[in-house]
Amino acid sequence: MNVHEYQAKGLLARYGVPLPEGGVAATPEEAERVAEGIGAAFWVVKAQILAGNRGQSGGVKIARSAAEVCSLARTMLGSRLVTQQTGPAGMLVHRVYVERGCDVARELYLGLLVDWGTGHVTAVASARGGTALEHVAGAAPETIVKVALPAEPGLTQAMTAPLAEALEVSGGAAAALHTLIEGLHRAFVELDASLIEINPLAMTGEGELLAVDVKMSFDDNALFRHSELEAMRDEDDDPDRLERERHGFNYVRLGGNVGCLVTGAGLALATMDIVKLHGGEPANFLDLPPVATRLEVAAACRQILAQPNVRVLLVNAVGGGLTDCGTVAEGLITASREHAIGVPLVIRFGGTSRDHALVLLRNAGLTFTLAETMTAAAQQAIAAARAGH
Amino acid sequence: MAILVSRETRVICQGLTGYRGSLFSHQALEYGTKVVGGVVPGKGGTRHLQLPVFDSVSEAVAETGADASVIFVPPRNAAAAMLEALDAELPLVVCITEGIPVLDMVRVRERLARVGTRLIGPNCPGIIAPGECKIGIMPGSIFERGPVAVVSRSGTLFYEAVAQLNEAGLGQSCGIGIGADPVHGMSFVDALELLLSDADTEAVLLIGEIGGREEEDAATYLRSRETDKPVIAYVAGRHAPADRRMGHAGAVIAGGLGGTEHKLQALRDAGIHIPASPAEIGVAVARALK
Repeated sequence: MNVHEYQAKGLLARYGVPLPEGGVAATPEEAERVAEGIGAAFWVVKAQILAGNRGQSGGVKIARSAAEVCSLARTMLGSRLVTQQTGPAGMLVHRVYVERGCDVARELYLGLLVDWGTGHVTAVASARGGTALEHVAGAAPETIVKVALPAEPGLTQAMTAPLAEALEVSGGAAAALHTLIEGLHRAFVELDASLIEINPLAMTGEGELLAVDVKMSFDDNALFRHSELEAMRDEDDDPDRLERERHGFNYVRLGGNVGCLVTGAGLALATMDIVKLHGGEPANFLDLPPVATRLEVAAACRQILAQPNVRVLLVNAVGGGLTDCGTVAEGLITASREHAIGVPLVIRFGGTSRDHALVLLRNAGLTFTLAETMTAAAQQAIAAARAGH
Repeated sequence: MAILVSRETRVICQGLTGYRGSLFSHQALEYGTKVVGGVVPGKGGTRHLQLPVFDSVSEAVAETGADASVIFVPPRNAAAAMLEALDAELPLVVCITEGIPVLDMVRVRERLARVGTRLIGPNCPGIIAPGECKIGIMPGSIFERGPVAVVSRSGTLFYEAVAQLNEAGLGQSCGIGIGADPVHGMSFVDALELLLSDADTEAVLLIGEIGGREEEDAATYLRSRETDKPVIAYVAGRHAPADRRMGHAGAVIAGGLGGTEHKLQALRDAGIHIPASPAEIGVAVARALK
């Protein structure tokens, strides 16, 4: 789960991470009041959306007066901001964050994540932060330093020293950096974060460290012990999540015309691969979990076929473990009785409950093409999709 | 005798009295696995499926002589169950539970590094030595005894690959579902270390998917090690769009590394056979064994 910048900053402030003074606003007037409350030579107005690259897309602007803050907020609020990461439809700006502008001498990068390879909480640091980071990652990856940290709070100077060196921070600022990393790490492990990124971490002209922009993501599996974070959830974060939670399956829209209903994530990925391999375009990724019920399978059919460009429904189910082809068949029968399947149906069943499932479908009088192999299933589905255009 | 498990392996089930613990312990017993007891805090002294139930792993080990545990405990208590099994110094722990917090697994891995236990999973089908021992949720009936070891990050694709092997006339020396969680126990490399020196295994089939760096690590390992056993790898998700979460946690690309093209190139460079299509896995193994 991702949270907005203003929420991440609110959380990190509690852990003593130094931040520019700021506040969130949902109306232009509120934004103006926030600016007046801060008092500064200049202010930064930032659109709050759950996507990056805001700066290059007009989502971060500088204002020289509180009145200008108000007018910038008026332009941003209610607009759809399109960045490299939002997709062409962009994301609706519900709030802006107004903060004190600061005199940035150097832009650094500091991130915390779990390294999947080593299995450790890991800090990542680069002295070239801000928008330069991507360039550095490509051109001089050796200047990006990674340091494994413990999974419990409490860092020693020795643990953070290599990070200070990587960030080229020394003297009095090094002590402040240690405290900052210590707080950041405590937030990471106490809140079950999956990513905390400060980019840029600013070194000001006065030698002060400030977390100017912050991105935070949390482990969905751990939200049961963080009800406060769960309450921060924004529906913009993951539009398919509600369907997933209601019906118990993973669904990702892809845009092709071959609808795919598959048991298990690995087989679902393989099914997409084989459809592409034979020249077709999958309409979606859909991974039915082993425990899916008849009604959940029917809901999955409806979800796939809700996309108007879907011309065929390809079902690939392998029985085994808790997964039962019979339940998939019952779900298809339910969907068909609700007249939810208006496209040709190509079915490939494998594994333990295959024969039983086919008997169910035939007894129910369903019309379908039976494929014996994944290859045949993909080819027949693609042919049906082409015929349907 | 297969790797890690055999007819003699004595298994306890943590979470025996729950729905899944009951179902799969029953199936394991039918398969011939020596399930010797269960652990459910608060239910010690009772019996379930005619097996003794204990309050703690150490008690169960002392009473039954168990040398393996399978865990069906719900996600919020699964890490504690794993740590308890590690503390009891069980040689093999298989965790089936899905949805465990990542930082819990980071803490389990830290402990794992200091003990001799092998952990398979979590979020995995488990391990099977066909005809000898089944610890996990895979359907025993689809496996046939033979020369190919199958190690998979995915569940249903694992069963699909096994069916294709059977069709090609190739049985399995063992099947290990290592799971697809970002932080887990046994890796492809750990499995390869055991399988390349296993007398019963003539070829190793790896079933990978996008995300993480298991496949890259396996490629690096194989480049550094002489072997005359063919290794075949299928990596699912070649056409998955970058940066989209596809199903379980493992199937997500973490910045450049972990993309299927990167993985396939690394595997090819290490001399690993790559089937062109997920429908040609069995055929590719048969070809590599000729």
